[in-house]
Amino acid sequence: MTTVDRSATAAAPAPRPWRARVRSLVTVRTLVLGVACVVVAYLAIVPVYYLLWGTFFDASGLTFSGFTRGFTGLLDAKAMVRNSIEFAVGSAALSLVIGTALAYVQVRTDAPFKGLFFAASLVPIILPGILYTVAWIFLASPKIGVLNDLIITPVLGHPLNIYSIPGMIWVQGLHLSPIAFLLMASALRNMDPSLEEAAMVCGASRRQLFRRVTMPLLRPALVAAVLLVFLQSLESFEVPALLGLQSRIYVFTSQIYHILGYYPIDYGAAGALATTLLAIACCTVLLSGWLSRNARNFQTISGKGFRPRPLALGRARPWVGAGLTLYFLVTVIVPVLVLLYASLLKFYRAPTLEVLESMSFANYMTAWSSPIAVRALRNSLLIGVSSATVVAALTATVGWIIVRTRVPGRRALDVLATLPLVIPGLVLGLALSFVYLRSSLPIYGTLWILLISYSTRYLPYGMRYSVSAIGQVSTELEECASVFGASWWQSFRRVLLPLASSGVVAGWIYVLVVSFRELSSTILLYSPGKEVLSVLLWEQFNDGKFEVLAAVGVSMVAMLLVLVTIAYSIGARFGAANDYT
Amino acid sequence: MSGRYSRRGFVAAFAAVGAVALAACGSAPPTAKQGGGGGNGGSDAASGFAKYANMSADERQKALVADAKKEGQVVVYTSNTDIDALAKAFEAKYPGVDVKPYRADSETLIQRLSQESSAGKIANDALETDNFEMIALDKNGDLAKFDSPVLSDLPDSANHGGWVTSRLNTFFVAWNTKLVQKGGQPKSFLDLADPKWKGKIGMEEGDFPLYAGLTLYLENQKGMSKSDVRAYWRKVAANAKVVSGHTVLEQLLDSGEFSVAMGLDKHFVEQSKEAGAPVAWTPYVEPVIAVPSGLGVMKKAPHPAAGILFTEWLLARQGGQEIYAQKFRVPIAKNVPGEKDVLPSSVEVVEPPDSVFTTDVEKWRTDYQKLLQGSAKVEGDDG
Repeated sequence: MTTVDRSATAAAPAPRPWRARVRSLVTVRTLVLGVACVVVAYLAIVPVYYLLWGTFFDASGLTFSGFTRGFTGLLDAKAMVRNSIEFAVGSAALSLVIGTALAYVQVRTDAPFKGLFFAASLVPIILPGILYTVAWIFLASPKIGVLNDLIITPVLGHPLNIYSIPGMIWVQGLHLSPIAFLLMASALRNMDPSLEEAAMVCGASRRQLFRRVTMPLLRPALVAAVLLVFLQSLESFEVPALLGLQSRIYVFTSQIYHILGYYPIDYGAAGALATTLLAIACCTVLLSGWLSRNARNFQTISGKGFRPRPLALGRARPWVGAGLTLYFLVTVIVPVLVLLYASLLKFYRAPTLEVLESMSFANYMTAWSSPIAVRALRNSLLIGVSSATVVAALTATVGWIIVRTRVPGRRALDVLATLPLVIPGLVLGLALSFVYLRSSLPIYGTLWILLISYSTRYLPYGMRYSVSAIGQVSTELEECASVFGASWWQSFRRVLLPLASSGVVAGWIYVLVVSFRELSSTILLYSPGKEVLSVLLWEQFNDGKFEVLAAVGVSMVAMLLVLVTIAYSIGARFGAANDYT
Repeated sequence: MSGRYSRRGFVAAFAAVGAVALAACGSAPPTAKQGGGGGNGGSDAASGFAKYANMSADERQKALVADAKKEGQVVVYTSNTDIDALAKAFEAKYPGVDVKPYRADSETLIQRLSQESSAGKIANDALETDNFEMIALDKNGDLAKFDSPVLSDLPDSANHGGWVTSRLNTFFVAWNTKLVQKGGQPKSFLDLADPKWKGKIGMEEGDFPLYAGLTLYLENQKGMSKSDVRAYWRKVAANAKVVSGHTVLEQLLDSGEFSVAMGLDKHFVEQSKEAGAPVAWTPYVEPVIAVPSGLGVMKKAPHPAAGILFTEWLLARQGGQEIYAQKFRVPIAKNVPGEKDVLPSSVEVVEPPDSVFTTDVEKWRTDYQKLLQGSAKVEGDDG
């Protein structure tokens, strides 16, 4: 028996020549992923850097005096923090409950009027915050609230007070419920019901099923929804300004906008408050990442085909239908009717016969005959669609890195991409105008700067939608594709994206809708000839013509509903969603 | 699965991120207090007005119009929402000179102007906004000295060097006639401290000029002591609810949420009344606090002649001033055709001194904020 001398044959592999190394680096995958990372990081870093620099540095160098000024400029900083957290947690909870319930009924049951309900679920987010909030003032103000006068006071004996923290939570929660709705609907749509069926076979009751199978599977989407609504409530301005101010309820943003409204701006103080929000945002994102760990547990789209059966409601169907109708009546239809009513009057007052006779479309004519109206609408459409597409493309790609790889720094990228959510719009505008005024590229003064601004601002939303959607797709499908010889790009484009499309499309729709009413950074960055719809809204608001503003708002709802329906039906054609709903 | 993907590509990408970020943000960071570096050299400073200085009136007008038409457009930064009506009238009078407005609230305007000024890229020719921002920009040196013959038609107080008052913002006290009976309306500011108005007064959160103007009037003209004035304001604040924005204030007054609104400009109340809202403000609660809005021409205007033509037209009795009057603003010129509800000369009008908007602005703002937030203590209070 001879022993084979392995040492001679097992020679060490020859070191690869550097040319081969470079070639292996420059692949489609590296380029696409690399470019996406660079762009996302760049977009997010610009305003964060500007904010942090303004907070921590002044003419004399590193300083923390901004924190002293920002937090002691108020009477009661502790109350401000407490109010902010209460408000944000309350609205996040309310949005989540409403959004999830609506999504479940919409996707997993055979409730009636699904198309209508889908549209109605989105209306609160289409309306500009100021309009939605004032509509609720007209409904639930203790003095002039129509709902109070007609229903609540006779029944309860005393009116509801919308000027309180519960009032603020109610309006903000409703206003943001579409975020949760879209996220949860796409997650539910992609859930393999065989797990639920297995549980039912094993004897689980419906309640147990919901609590121990469905909800845990939906955890990443739930976490993403809570994160978005919580952070957006912290950053929200209209609701606290309109409802909290009168009762002396102050939150972070009341103070930040107060400081930003004065020239010269005390960047240190405003920045200190905003940096605190930034820190909260970081922690929330990291927490959400930790809660969504063990990714494999949440992958519900797998190699086994599935066709979920909607839950038959049976005898409960008309009750559910009635319940939904009542819900939409109260939260969507009535506020929109109030606005529609206001838009047909010359000035708002309670309805009487003579008032009804004096209604006309005059306000609509005034609004749309403004010299900038048509141009603004065209620009808004252009920028809305472009920024939604840019955000969807970038976040789908970066989302893949965050979910699928173990690259060091991906958590940091996730956090970075979420930070723009809590940066005040004016600070974003200032950062962008600072950078692009000094660049020789023709960006400042054109529509491009608005595109950059919107893409930055809505990056966090896209991230949450994409990450949640990609997380539901099992890795085995892409692995299967590469076993059959597909390149990364092919498997990404033809396997992953279609499967994750319901989430990505939901994100696209969301960005399109809210971009129409983005104002805080737009007002600083737009230029003559490059107006968008929110500038028109602002003009009417500033000039005191609330009724004309209501007319623009109602028109926006109509237009965007049509757009969203089109977008949704196109998106559904590309994804797994066309099999049901 | 992850092991199959090369790390090197990602590392390279991340390194690129850092490089790009540094390159993008490589310029000087913003300082804590923004101050633009406006007119260095003043190459266009005097030449704007100086070019037409020694001409006769007719010659001057001809030359201005000819130069403006050559320039073709005037870029106006304004917080005046009537700019569309103004632009239409101006373009009708001077065809060939297009008006390109940028509208924003005054705080945003000055941010934009500071940014553009510190980058050395002034994009506008003319500017119209509130006195506070005009004063700040003039101090920065961004405005050209308004050396124009039209100033002789205006009161002397309108000329502020780099800017000129174009109209006045008058803070009226207005009430809802459905909730306040005839004869029961406030007759003077001091009436508002009466506990019968508890919860019925609306105040706007940014109206510190009204607060400053009235405080100084009560102390100096009426001889009230500082502590009496502070006690008065505390009572008013206890009666009042605070809102953000004059539009909302007007809305809530019209719909009956408030019985009285403290501090609504003439154009808000006139517009509402014209639409049929139950709002009244006469007999005037005196004194009427007035804060000027002004206009100016940028030193480094890209279209200086058009800028001068436009601003001079805004100050002309039969030009911009007439449009202001039509839109229920208070024009600075006298005897403007078509002005409705002209403030009778018997009504006392008080303009807060400039110090309220410059050296003492922080003090007035903070005092007002503390008052609204319900603090019993205002700076210097011993009680």
